[in-house]
Amino acid sequence: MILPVYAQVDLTNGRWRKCTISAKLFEQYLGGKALGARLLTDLTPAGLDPLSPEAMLIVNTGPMNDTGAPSSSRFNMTFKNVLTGGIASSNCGGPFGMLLKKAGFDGLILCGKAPELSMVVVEDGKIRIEPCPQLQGLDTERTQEELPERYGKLVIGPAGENGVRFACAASGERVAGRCGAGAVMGSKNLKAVIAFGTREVVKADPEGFEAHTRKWVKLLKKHPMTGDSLPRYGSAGLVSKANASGVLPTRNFTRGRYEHYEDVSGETLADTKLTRNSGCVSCPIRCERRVKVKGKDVKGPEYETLGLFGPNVENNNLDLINELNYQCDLLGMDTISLAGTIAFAMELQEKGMGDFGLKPDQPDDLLRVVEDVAYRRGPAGELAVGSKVLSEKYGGADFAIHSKGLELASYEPRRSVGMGLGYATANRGGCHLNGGYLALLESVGVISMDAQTPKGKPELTVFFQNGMEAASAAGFCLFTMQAMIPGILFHFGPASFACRAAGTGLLAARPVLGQIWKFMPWAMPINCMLVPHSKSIALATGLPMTIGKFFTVGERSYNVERLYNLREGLTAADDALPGRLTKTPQDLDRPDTVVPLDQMLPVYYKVRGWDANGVPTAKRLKHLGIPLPKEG
Amino acid sequence: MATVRYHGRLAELTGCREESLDGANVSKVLDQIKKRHGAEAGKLAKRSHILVDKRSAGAEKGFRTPVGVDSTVEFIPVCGGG
Amino acid sequence: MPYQITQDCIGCTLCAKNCPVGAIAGVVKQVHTIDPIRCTQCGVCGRVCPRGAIEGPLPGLCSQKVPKDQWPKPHVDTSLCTACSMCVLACGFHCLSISLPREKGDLAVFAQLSAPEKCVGCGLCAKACGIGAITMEGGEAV
Repeated sequence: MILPVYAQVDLTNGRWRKCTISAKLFEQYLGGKALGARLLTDLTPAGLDPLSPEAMLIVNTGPMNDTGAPSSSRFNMTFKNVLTGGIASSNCGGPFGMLLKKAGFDGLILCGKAPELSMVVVEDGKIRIEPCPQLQGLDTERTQEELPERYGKLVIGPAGENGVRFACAASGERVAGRCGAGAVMGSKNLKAVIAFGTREVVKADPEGFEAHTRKWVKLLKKHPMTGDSLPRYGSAGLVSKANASGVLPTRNFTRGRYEHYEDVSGETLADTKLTRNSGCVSCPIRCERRVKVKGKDVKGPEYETLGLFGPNVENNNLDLINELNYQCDLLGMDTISLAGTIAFAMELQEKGMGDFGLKPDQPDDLLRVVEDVAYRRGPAGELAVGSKVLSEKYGGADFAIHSKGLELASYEPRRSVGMGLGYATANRGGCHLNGGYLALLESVGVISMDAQTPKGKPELTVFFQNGMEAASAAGFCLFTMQAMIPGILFHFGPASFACRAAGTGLLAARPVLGQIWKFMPWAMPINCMLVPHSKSIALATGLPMTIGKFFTVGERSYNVERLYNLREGLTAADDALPGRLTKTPQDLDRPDTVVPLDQMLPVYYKVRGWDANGVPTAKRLKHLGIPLPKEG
Repeated sequence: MATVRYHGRLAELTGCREESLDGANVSKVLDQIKKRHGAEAGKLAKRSHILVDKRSAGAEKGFRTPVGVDSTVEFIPVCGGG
Repeated sequence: MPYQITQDCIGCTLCAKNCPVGAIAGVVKQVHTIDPIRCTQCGVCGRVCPRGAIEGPLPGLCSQKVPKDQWPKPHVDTSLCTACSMCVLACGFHCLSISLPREKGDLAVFAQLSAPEKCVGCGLCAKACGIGAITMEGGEAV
């Protein structure tokens, strides 16, 4: 078995050394965010400031990166979350991860602070640090143009250099958006990491792997979701159904429906703005939108950006959203956190609780606001700290739409209560994907499920959180998991009996889903095409991977992340949502349109094997093979 | 006559965004679409999210959800994402 | 073994210019060298060297110049290709690209050899493809 090779780099003095991950850690955590969380816990002391030189930034890949498996270009960044103080993992589909691997390393562990603006150059198993003052202040696109051509690049824009707390890192046109990866790089005077090499991934069973990949790719191409609707409409296609289900956040999450939703829907985007679809390298799904901004062919917006820069700030100008999306990428900022913070500040301003110079009636002014935030200038520059810190200064905690400090994505959880539970429990904060993404089952997908009932939601949330965690750890895109929903349901149609029965059935399966984790490593000792990921990992690495073990990797990782959060001072009280979402019904005539968090959390903890305070029990940790955290 | 609204590829296939169709329930409306615009459009309509007066047919009575004379029936493509 | 350059090298730089991974270094009129870690053993240097000064992949086996029209070229099986772009990333000379949709809403696009004149026939694209949709055809198979 070939073990992952990491490099520990001290940016302060330029020293670096190679280290190999042990076979035990490799089998338990695979790589990506799972291994990242383990390493961050083991290698850093508690209580560091995320932006201090001592803080650590782990940039790593999973075993599947660069193998040729479908949608396997995704690499991970793990660090102490700038917005929440807990764990952060940020995932990106750009080419950097694959080239890092080709350059001879499965991951980089960066610490310290370079004396001047610098970049890390990784070539053929060697690392050096070069000053790059000439790149100072350049946007992410210009920066990458200035760097050598064929290298995999991971760069920050002006927002990262200026310490905007939700700054992102970019590789190609894809970004590791959430949690402030760009701010961490900026705090280390690290403008870029570039990598090139020709190391090949050696597979345990090359022929078997290629045959399995062929079968899997065919399945993805044939599936109505990954083969048709994602490439045709992208994630943007969710806008219309989200609006119909009342989960399209409007006016800082006061409502779930927007009267002009059609102006910003995925269908309108495809019809009037789309030039073609594209995708991350290695991906057969190709959900990326290409649009024109000022005559230039650029990346189009995802659903999150459409929702939060559209209805949530009451803007129905699609061209403007496209431009804002592009501008955020250039400056290097997460569109979800930025747009969420702007919506919050708009409400603060409207209520007379603060003045940030925003002009809610002039959407075009948002371009100016975005720039002001990136350069932290003027009254709008205050937004660079994010919703939570802003609410500590100006008040309005009830309508500061974040969980643990990370702004919520574009799903209004009062009409998708399982998603609400996910936001509240997600280790990195208010994230839909780390939160289990039940919105797809409850509100926007093909399956028809009771979105208001709290029953069965904790069990499903745990299941999908663990599954997605494992897929990320291996280096797969989460969208490959959407093909787990049987294609036949799409043929029957969402109004069919089959789709309604599927929803009811999933909720009814809660006794099984609640208990399954106690038996998980052995519960599914098989590989099958419903979850092709596990067999793919087995064939590529030689690990004895099965579906049961695959899900266990996810559960293990989720617990390690939780332990990190607890160590850094977060508690069960932080598994929360703002009062607007838990106390005020979205539809005043329907008292059940709130997130009944207090009903779901105890069940959630129980299914996870955590105690009433949300602390993993020693028994469950032993079951998962996680060392007990040190006392004090 | 109920008002029927199409989104996305279905609007392209039928050549219109909105039209009036007869039908006492969703199933009957689907038959009309098939008759008027062909099997491909009919199939695509069936595989869409169907909203009757802004309520999802999936959460009501499925294909048997009644459609009134002043009802609006919308067809939205099933999408994914995250 | 990775390829090596013998003392017959006259420093014409052709090999360095044609190496798809930038593994060859050297100055004009001086003996060039191949970075053994970077070298992917594609054999392109041997095909362009006018002096047969490239040794490999076996010790003592020296190269022979091959005219450009006899170099292998990638052939994309469009029934398999998913336009995932692994080959586009692997290519050192921007020879491959993804075809444009034929009409609005056309999802059936593929990798294509759009700049055949720049192709050196290194086969890195075929190696990168996870599903074996690219085969190298013509010339001596690599």
